[in-house]
Amino acid sequence: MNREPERLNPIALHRQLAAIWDSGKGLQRLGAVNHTVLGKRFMVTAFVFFAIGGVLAMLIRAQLATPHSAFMDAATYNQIFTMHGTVMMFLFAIPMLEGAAIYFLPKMLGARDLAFPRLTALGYWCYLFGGTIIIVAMLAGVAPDSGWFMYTPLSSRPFSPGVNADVWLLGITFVEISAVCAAIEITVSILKLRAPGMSLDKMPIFGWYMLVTALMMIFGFPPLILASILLEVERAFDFPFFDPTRGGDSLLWAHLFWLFGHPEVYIIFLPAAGAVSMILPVLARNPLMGYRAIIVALIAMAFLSFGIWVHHMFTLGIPHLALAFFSAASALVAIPTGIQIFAWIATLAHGRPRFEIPMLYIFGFLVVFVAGGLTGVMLAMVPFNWQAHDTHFVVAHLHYVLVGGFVFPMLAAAYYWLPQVTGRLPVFKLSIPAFWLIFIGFNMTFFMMHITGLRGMPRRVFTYPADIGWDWLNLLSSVGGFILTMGFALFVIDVVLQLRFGKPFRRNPWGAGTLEWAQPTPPPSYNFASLPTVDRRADTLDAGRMGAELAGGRGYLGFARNGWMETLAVDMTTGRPEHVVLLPNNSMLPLWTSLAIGGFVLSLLFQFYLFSLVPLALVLVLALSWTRTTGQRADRGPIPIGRGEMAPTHYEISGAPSWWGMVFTLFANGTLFASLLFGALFLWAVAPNWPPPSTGEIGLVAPVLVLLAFALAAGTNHLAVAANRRGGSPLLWLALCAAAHLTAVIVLVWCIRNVVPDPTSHAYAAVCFILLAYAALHSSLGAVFAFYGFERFRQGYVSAVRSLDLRIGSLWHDYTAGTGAIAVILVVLMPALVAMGAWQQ
Amino acid sequence: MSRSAIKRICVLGVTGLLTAGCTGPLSTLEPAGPAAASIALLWWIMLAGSVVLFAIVIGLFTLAFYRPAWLAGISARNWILHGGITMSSVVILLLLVAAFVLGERLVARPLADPPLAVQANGRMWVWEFSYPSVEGPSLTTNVLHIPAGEIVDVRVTSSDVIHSFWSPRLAGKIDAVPGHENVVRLTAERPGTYRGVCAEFCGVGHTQMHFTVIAHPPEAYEQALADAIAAETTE
Amino acid sequence: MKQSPVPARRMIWLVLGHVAWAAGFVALYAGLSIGCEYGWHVMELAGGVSVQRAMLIVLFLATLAATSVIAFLSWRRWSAARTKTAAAAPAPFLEWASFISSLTAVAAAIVSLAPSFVLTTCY
Repeated sequence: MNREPERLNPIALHRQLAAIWDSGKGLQRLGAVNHTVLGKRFMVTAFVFFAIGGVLAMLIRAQLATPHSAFMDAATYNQIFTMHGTVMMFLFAIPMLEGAAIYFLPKMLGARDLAFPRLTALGYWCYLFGGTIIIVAMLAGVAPDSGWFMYTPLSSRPFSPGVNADVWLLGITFVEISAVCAAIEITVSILKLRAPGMSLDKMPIFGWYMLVTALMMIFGFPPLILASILLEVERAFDFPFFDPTRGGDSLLWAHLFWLFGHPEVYIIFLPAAGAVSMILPVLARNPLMGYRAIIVALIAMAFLSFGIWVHHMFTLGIPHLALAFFSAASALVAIPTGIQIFAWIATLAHGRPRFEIPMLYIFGFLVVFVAGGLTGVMLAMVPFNWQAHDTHFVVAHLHYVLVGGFVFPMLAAAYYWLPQVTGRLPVFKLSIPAFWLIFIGFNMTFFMMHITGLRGMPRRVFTYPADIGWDWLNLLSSVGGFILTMGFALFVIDVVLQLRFGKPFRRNPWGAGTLEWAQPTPPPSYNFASLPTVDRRADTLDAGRMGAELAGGRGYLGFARNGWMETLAVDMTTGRPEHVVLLPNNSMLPLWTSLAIGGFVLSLLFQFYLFSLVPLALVLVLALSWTRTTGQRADRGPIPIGRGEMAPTHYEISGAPSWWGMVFTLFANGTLFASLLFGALFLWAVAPNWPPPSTGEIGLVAPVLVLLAFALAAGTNHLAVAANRRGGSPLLWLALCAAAHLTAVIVLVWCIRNVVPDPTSHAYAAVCFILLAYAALHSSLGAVFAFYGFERFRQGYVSAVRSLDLRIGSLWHDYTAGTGAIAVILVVLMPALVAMGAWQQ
Repeated sequence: MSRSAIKRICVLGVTGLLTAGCTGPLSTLEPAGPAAASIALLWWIMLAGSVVLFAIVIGLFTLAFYRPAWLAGISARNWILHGGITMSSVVILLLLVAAFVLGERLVARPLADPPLAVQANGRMWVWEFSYPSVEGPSLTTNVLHIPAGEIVDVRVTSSDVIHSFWSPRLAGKIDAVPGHENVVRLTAERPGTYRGVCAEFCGVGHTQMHFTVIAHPPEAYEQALADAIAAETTE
Repeated sequence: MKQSPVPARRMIWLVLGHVAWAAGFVALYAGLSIGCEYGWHVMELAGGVSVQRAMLIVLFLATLAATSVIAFLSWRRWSAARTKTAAAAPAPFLEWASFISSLTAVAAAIVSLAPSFVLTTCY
């Protein structure tokens, strides 16, 4: 069994691998899990949403072209601009960068797919359904209308009684699930699924950009997810988290939103800058210079970008010193950006640059983005911000940064990589007029807005009088906007023409040195017939020579075995081959699961709260059935991986991708929990109308009981792992673990029902309720994990060597015990905190 | 035409364009008080600096593309150290210090001689101003009366959603947050009428939620305010 | 299975300095907000320094100390890795990047938090 399969000729090898890896035909397409297929679906869908967002922008410009316009009324206009921001941010930019990462990362890193292919599919469906809900709501005339940052109390029930705000909160959270899934998958894939030999310092720079971006998403999105949950709970059940009359605070929403919102800008910018760092060196015919400096700059940028969130809140009445912290951090973030720009200049200066279409768009990117960066530094200066905030100056700035920092690089990337995707070269030169239309149109639209803003035009006004000098500026902006649109239309025509009439080519038209050009084009579903070995920085490879060798099966895993979808996982740092990952095949489960989640979201949206438990239960059942096709019932030991080497399968090692996936899931979850703690303490310290009318008497018996149950749950699972390692049976320990969790849940629910004051009475009670509910939810899932481990052992999937299911459970139990203990202790301490509150003095 | 005449026409033309582009009843660049004036000065300095930096970066990038040989003598390390780090650090530190000093001057910290305080309350979609210095009820709707040449603290809050009090020619904006009171300190140098708007999106009436600040000569202020309050109550 | 010559936990050093900076940053912001609620800025400690100011300066110095210690330790690791000729592939790179990254964290701490010494705390 453990003999290396025979070497085949390239064509036979291709047939065998394609038979295993290809997505199905017809309706089976819905079960596709392949990253090439899903990456393209993500990007095409994101582009459709971009077009929708663009049409909305045209409506805005039509309305503002002249003073006293009667084209739209205020209510409609509010929906249109809210949707424009929401669509562009959540349904275009983020999914577009995810799609690019999903499509390219395995190809650049030398893997056959991402670490969790079915999760890619789940992410896609969640995105599509969430986006569809929002667009359908707009067509039905009930689109969100409180602005894309949804400030409370305007978005709370009393001031937004309709379903509009719920559409935003539920739809966007649905899409965010997809983003966090993608982020976790991208992180694990970059760290584990690389070509053998590709140590961290040999990774193509795009891998580093995406690693930093994905980690930022893991820590940046949970605050918004929490805020959306809290606001939806407030709207649905009247828990006053953001209601200042009952101890809530609208500032809490602002904090949580921007804690996500500012990193978001860099999350959007970094992948695009990563694309520039890949394209520019190829066109300069010189490997990227300052590779290591850029990596450090990225790390610094990632952290600094979180230290900027109050940058959007300078006028909310926060003390000057606090503003100074954020102001300085905002200005500092320009330095890592400068490092990248000067690394690009150095790369050009030491190379032999040649002019190609992508370079034109990179010029456009640089001009627009540098201007946006400079106005960004201006806005970071507190006094100037007091004037410019919430005016069209900010509108101008953010479009310079986002269009300059994302759209222009993505257009450059499109022209650079389209041949890789389609296997065809462009024939017509429409790209040049398209560029000039976009470039001139963009600057005409948004440069004017700097001046309009300085002349006092606030954001989000639906019309304006003729006598204050905003009229001709707005007219120019509108004309520019339509020129910009024509440019994009030309771009679309150009791409269609290339798809239809483009000339096929052999390999590597740009002479690039990265692995995605060592593939046949368009790329096959399995990416590489055999996996490459990388012995130098992976942007200086001889792609042409490697391509032929790999197709001939002369690398790792150059065979088809047992119908398995195999790829290699490497040691995180050194890139030495570590184990074989057996990926799951095409499946409808992601579609069904996301439909069930969609059912849950829709029942919340239509306020069928009791019924919503049905789709929720369905989600749980479906999630458990995901594992039915994975696992291995016998110890197999190391198997051949080609080149005379052996490695075990991922079921038989300690750091399998799924184990790391759980680690990063818990990082995201922990960020959500930390945001909740922040919220609780923030309301206590800052919110008006404290102290609460009553604090309830939780006593010590119940909390001690819960803490003991948590300790028991975590401890018994460790004993289960230990028993299993010794070859014994973990079943008893797992049963105890489940029992401990159930005890904790029962006591917690009792506390919620009997001890916590009415959660609608005051934010204090609402916060205690949510803290305990968080612990109870995690504990009930802990019971599910214990039960799952129990079943997996009984069915023979777990052995002393194959302990993954139990160890992943351990991570969950430890996390639940840790966060649960903190939540319970905080609830116990809250009355004491209230007693020493500042208002008591 | 003599050269000096051409020069004069050019200067006039440019300043004319600049002023035509920057004036207006809501323009931050036509300040009518010290707060707005110092921020406008900060803006002009930053604009000049930005133009220079923009030219340097884009110029170097263009040169590196078209004439790489001219720049190839500089090592990548030096590009990054001097261009990326030193140049931007110096600019940013200088700018931060200037902005902090300016911010300190504008902040509404307690003064030995407490300035005149007025209350502003944002409500969907009107501004209600009241005057603690006046005994009894003192309400003026959408018109704020202040004495010219004096420091005034506007204490801003909201009774529903977040609004923002902004009279661009006088000072920066401050948000009206329900449950909190924020203060913006402003001075109108000369008597006159200054327009203001709600700058934070607050729903369907956001666009119409504007107000006026009337600065009266100090000696006429009390009477004018009393008249305005009386007119409000009889309406 | 063989132990990796460069364990994954080494990567933590890439971000450790910045984690310390972020913790200090949040601590200062939280301390400032709580101090203003309790009126520490009007409580004089000694020589015209308020309780608020003293607390902020202590927190700032603690952040500076933490980031500096991390920078120093990563400098030592880097010099050790430099002298070892047979260090495995990404080790020298990781140690260099960790050191520089920690240095940037020290710089970020100074620039972003030093205003604690002078600026108005609660207005």
